Amino acid sequence: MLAIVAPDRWNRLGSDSPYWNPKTETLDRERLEALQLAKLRRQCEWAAARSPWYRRAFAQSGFDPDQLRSLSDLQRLEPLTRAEWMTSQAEHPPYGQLPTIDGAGAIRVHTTSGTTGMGPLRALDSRKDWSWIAEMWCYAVWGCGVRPRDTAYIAFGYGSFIGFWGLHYAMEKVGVLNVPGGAQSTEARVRQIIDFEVTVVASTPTYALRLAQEARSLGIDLRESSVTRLILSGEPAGSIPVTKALIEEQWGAKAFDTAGMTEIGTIMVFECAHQPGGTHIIEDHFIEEVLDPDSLEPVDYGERGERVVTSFGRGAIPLLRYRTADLVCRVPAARCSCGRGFDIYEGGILGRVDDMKLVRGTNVYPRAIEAIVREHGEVDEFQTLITREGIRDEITLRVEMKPDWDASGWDRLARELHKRLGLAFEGLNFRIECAPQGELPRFELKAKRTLDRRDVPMGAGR
Amino acid sequence: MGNPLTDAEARLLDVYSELKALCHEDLEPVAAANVRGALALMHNVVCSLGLVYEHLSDLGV
Repeated sequence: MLAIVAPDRWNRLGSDSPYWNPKTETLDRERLEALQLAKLRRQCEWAAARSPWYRRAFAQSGFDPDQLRSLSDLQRLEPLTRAEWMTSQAEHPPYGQLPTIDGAGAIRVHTTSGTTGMGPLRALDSRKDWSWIAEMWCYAVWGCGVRPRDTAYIAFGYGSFIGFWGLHYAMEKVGVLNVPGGAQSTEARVRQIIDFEVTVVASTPTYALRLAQEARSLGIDLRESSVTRLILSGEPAGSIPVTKALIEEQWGAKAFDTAGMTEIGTIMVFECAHQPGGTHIIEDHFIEEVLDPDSLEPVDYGERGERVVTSFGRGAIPLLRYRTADLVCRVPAARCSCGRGFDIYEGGILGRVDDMKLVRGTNVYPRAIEAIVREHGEVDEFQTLITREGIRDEITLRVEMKPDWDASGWDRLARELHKRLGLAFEGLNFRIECAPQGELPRFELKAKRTLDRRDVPMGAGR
Repeated sequence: MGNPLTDAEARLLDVYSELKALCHEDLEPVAAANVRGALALMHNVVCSLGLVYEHLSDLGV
């Protein structure tokens, strides 16, 4: 009779290197840039040969891939905007002229949510592209300490939004036992996390808090669960210190930030196990420039600017100098003690260039509001409402408290929030309102907590 | 990246090259599809090790 031998998932990958790819993650800057330049030449040649869009863009810019001598030569190419991509898609449906292949040469298409009013962006990928998409997530999965012995739960809808699809395949590639959390209620997800003794949970930061809230209502203390790590993505909040601390406190687990976008199909940054207060750029697969959004001139280390990405991964849609509208602050790799040569976005994605709201002459950043509100653990959910009353703009913070909260503390909390927000935003007078239980929306994916109703006709949308 | 290939890297490159060559063969569907799947995975290896970087859509990959 044959003995049943339990498969040793623990040691299947042999090495326990802290790096997914030690060879490139520890390259010095000179060699890393040499690798980037070699890939850049090849990617530009590919784009020129196969993409009608880039053939025309190169000709208009007088850009010839044969003339690439250094990475700075890339700056001769005009950045690509989302609006240009969408226009190309509208003029040449369904995919526009960026792709090097048509639908017949691809194996998948994903779309953005289309909330900008321009319709969804459609992204084609080949078989190799999908393999690479998962590979980028592997840098993050392995880098934050997930190993084959883990059990992962991906709290995600598994629909046409690309979201965590790549992470699902990365978990399988690493050898992790994967529990797909699609098509479930929040309660069912909490119960599965407990029942399967999950050790790693992936979700948006907002949904991590929502899961914790649901667990509390079910009488489950997630701090007593098996979960040791959370992989966060989809919102800047994964690197807002107070939000991250709140998530870690409610789960009793470490939270690791990542960020990606449908336009590149995967993530381009991840937080390593050393948690340096920011996210490493996967620089052997991306060139990330940080530019002044107005002048488009590069900014120095430590200065805020807009991310402009060049990706080597996708062959179906080569992406060269794509303006992301993400605000970042890049600092040298040496800021982290992990040994990687990959530079860091301090504080992760700081927000969107177009997120900023101008209220009575004051710049208001949603991320900064969240950082203040999340200092108060008794707050369950919140929303910022900007309205116009006559000729005057008003800004209101609506706050929903936890169900077991003592309402007698409201006046003190409202005063504190009013004071802190005023100090943070040049004395701007925030109205503070207490919202009834369950009134404010909850989010599974990207949270939209700022409503600007100044352009809405009177009475509409209320 | 300017370094001599290790024995393991040379063998990985051989596997990759052989899979590419097989994509030009008239294979049964079961072989044709799985060879392409394997080639997509192997490209991650040779690309991430800085050995080969190319796109494979002409081979259906």
